[in-house]
Formats: sequence, structure tokens, C-alpha cells
Amino acid sequence: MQHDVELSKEVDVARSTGLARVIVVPGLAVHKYAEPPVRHLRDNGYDARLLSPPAWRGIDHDLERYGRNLAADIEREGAPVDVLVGLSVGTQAAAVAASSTDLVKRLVLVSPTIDPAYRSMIKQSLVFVRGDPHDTSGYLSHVPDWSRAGVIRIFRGFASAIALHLEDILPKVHAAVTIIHTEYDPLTTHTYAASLAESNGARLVLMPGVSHSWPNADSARFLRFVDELVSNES
Amino acid sequence: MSDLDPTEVVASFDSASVLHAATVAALNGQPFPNLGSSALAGLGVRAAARLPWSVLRGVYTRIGASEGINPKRLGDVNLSAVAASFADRYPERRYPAVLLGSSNGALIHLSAAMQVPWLPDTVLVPVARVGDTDRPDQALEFGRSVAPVLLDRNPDIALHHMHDQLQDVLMAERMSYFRVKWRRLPDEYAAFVQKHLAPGGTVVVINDNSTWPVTRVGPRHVFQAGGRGGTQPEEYLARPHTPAPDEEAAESEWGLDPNFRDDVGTWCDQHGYRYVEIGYVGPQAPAAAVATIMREWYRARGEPANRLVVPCFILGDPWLTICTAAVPFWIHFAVQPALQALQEYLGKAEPYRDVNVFLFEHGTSSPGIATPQDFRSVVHRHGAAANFDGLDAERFPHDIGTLGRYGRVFDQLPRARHPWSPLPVNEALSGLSAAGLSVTTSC
Repeated sequence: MQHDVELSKEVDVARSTGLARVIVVPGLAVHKYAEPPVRHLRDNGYDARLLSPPAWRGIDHDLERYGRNLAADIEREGAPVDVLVGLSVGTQAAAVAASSTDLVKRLVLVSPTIDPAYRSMIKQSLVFVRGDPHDTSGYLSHVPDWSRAGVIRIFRGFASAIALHLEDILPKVHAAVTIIHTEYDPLTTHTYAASLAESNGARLVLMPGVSHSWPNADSARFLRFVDELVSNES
Repeated sequence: MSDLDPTEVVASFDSASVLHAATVAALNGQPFPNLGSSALAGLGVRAAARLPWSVLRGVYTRIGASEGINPKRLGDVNLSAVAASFADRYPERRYPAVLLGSSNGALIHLSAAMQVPWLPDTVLVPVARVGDTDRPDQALEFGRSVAPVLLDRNPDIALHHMHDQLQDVLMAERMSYFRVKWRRLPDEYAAFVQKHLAPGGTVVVINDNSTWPVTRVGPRHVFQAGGRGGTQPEEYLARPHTPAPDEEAAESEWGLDPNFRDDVGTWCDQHGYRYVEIGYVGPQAPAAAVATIMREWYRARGEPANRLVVPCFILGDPWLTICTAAVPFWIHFAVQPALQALQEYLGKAEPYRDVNVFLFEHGTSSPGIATPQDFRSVVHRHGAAANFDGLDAERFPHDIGTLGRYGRVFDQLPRARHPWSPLPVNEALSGLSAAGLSVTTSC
């Protein structure tokens, strides 16, 4: 399957390096904003990978399939993943992956989607149009990434995100779950993040002064967070 | 005639309703500007604040008085519906604890840090009445004549009719303060606890043991001359036309009805809930303990915690206080006893670099008031920079525009550096106990 091949290439977990392994699933059709924090993890001794985002050409736009493919790749490789991080709609794919394999030790959901308060194409579009005054990257910086998906694939990706409910997946996850909610997130309410954490025995972490696309432009804090997570629970 | 809308029965400017709304906002992860009113209302307040006080005084009084209920409709006040409306405003999830009881601005900051709800035992029902503020005896007779229908309709409450012609003179001109206290756990609160308390969670009763001399009017009705602030009870009682007291009762605004506490304890026993009681005397008592707990909590995760914020009465923002890792020292009113408490705290605490003071202005230079200059002196004496952003010190105590400005000041404070998770309930309770508050547990 074309999607599997592409995903496997990105995961590229052919052998264990002995370093703590971190896999990051980015948001829908966006990649560049997550590159610096993942690179920073690598520069500081992690075996950290940033996957191709859902909906890029050649990559599945369907988040459930994306997650199952990722789990299959992890299983095939056979080595545990110390931290699987999902960003935005990547949280849904990451949760599916973690629910499908026991090799994920910790699951971190940053800005989990899609909040029932915004669970329709119209509401998502309104939030998008309104913009995010606290997002330092801005929309224009995502255009090159979006062009690798195209409008139709992005639309399908959104439809998949709306149909896939995180609250139904999380009860099937055996990994330790951390939910990160950012102070200025315009897409996910505090209530949804707190409720997901409470009903699934997850740890709720609140990130002050940043917006939905964290850890964009905040590599040092992301590294510190992963350091603490790995050291506290190892 | 149908019941009054429960959201219109209680005063929107009172400690219980505003502190409750601030707690709801914090549990929704939301700032609390304009005392929870709209941005448009905030704009209106800021604009109105430009008027000369001689004009503004009348506007302020009439807007406040517009909340007063027609006394003929007191029989249409359903306090069970009020209890339900308080409980229903919290987000739908389970909580590790539920706080019940006395209003306290310091403890709601702890509530926000723990991310647990608080439900008040006392609410203010404002009743329309135009009268001579210097005739508390007439106010009492008014209460005696109109209260029976309210009490008959609501058998689980006690009425503490408060008349304070010194600190609440502007409002007292056009309304009577009917503070009602539940004498047992309202069914709506019980249902909330059963639905929202997480397994193994804790019911925490906040018990402010404050009392005040009162005149008994009926079996569930007392009259209180004056209220906590800058004047002692005996000074109120010495004023002309003040009814003689015949007993002490729970202070009308802050004190907890002992029947409520007993009923919650019994109910928890019957339902197998862990019961904890936080006990103290007077609303100012928990402020230093809360400040200490919050500072230690921030420092444990690497924050410098060298900014103190001083929210006052209902003027504050618990959510943004935490997002900015600012240490809250709440004062119950801009009065000398509260200033004294701040001074004592600063005298014992490690020095702060910055102190942001937010003073609630009640529109009158009442006896015992503490001015911005008083606060500035105390803060400077302890080596910190005093900030009064959002407050026009020259216009104090008439600068009501501060109600529409304080939110922006909180929003502009530098953000915390480190991520945080809710403060564990047991850690908070241990901290209160270590700081000298009475914290008792029964299973």
C-alpha cells in the first residue's frame, strides 16, 4: 500500500539506537513548524523523528488509518517508543496508534482535537478565518506545507478528524497519557482537555503563554518537558 | 405568578456570586475581566468613570439598585433554583474535591489552582427599598414586614438582613441586603457532589466562624447592623436608631451557618464521602496561608514567584494569577485591618520584587478605609515596587472605572515560564494546616 510505504519510510525505525525514542505526529498537512523542536530533541541525545503529516500526497488523510499504519510500523520494528507525541489532529492519529500497540510507553497529546464545541466543518472554518493572534508562525508560513496536500486532501483530513472522537479512543490506550493544553488555544477548550484527562486517568499539563501550535518556536521548553517526562517515569 | 429567574434573584456585585463566577471561569481556563460581565459592559464602565463623581454617584446608585427585587415578589424567590444555577455553571467533569461553604477570595485562588469547584452557603438577595440609611431600626421593620413570604417559600434558609450605612451607603439608599444562608445541604448541591466528585474525592467545607451581634426578628431571621470592614460592631451599635442586639450569629456575608456544616458532615457520613473542614475566623484569615502555598507551588516548578498580586473583595482574576505565576494575597476590602494583614504577611515572607495592588472601590470614604497611599507605604517599606495599574489613585475611592480596567492589567503581566498541573488537593490542605489554619478530617 502506497500509504504504508510512505509512512514506513518516515518512521524508519530499523534498529534501536539505545537512545530514548520519540516519535512526533504533526498536525494536518503541516510539518515545518514542528521541525525545530524535534531537531532540538535530536541535538540533545534523543532518537527523535517527525513524521510526514496526515494528508500530504502519498500520506493517508484518514487519521484512523494513519494511526493504524503507524502502529503496524512500530510493531514491525519491535522496539518500544518512549514517547509518542501528537500535535493537534496528530493527537487523534497518535492515540489510534497507541491504542493499537503496547510498544508505546508514553503518549503525549498536545492541543488535542477535535473539541466537541467545534466539531463541524463550519465551526472549524470560523475558527480558521478568525485566526489566532497568539500564533507566532501565522498562516502564511504554512502555505508551502499545505501545497503538498492540496485543498481536497486537507478537506478530507478535516472530515476524518471530525468523525474520529478522541474520547472514544483514549480508553483503549494502555500507555501513560499526558494531555497538554495551551493557554491561548483557539481550537480546543480547557474544558475538553481537562475532561479528557480526568476521564482517562491522564495527566493534565497547562502551558502558559503559548497557543495551539506549541511547541512551535519553543524548542527549549519542549526539550525540558520531554526530559522531565522520560526521567520522572523511567 | 411564576418564580423569578434564579440568575436574577442574587446580586451580581456580591462576594458570593462574583467569586463563584471567577471560580467557574478558572475551571474553564478563562480570564475574568469586568467581573465576568461583557467587554461592552467593561467599556461602558470605563467610559462612565470619566464623569464627575457628583453625576456618577447617582448613576452608580441607580444601576446597583436596579438589581433590587420588588418586595412583593419575595414569595417568588426559589432558592433551590438558585442553588441549581450555581451548581450548573461548572464544566461537566469529575473533580478530586468539591468545596462548599463560606465565600473567601483567598480560598477561591486555591480552588482555581486545584481546579475544583466551590459552591457558596450564603447568597445576597437584594430587595428594592428607598429609605433613610441612618435609620437601621426602620430597615429592620421593613425586613420584618416583607421577609415572611421569602422564609415560608424557602424552609431551608435563614435570613441575615444586613444594613451597613457606612460602607454600603450608596446601595443602602435604594435597597436592603437580604443575605440568605442555607441551613442544610441543598439537594442541588448534593446532586452535584454525587455526579461530579471523583471516586475517593473529598468534600471540603469552608467554615468561617465569624460572628456578629444581631437582633433576632424571627426563628430564621436576624438583623445585623453593619458589616465586616473598617468599623467594629460596637461602633455600629453605638450609632443612633440602631436596634439593640440580643445574640451573636454567623456574620451575614462571610460566616457559615453551623447547621449547614453539621448537615454536610452528616450527609458525607451517610454517603461515605471523605469530609474535610477548613476552619478560621474572619475572611482575612486564610490569605497568608494561601499566598504561602501558592508561592511554594510555583517555586517547586522553577518559577521565581517574586510578584505578589493583591486582589481585593471581588476584584481579581484567579486564572490569570496562576498563568502568570503571581502570588495572590487577597484582602476582603480596602480597609485598615486588611492592610494590617498584608503588612504582617510581607513582614514574614521572603521579599517580593513587585506588588500589584487591585483595590475595590465602594464609592465612599468610610471609616477605617485604607487608601492607595497607605498600601504604597506598606509595600515600599518591604522593599518592593508598588503598582496600581488600572487604578486612578487621585480619584479613589470613586474610580469605578477600575472595574473595567483590572482585567487588562492582569492580562499584561508576564506569563509563567513553566508548565503546570493542578495543585493536588492533599498538598493544598496540608499547606493550609501547616500555615496554622484548622483543617480537620473525618472519613
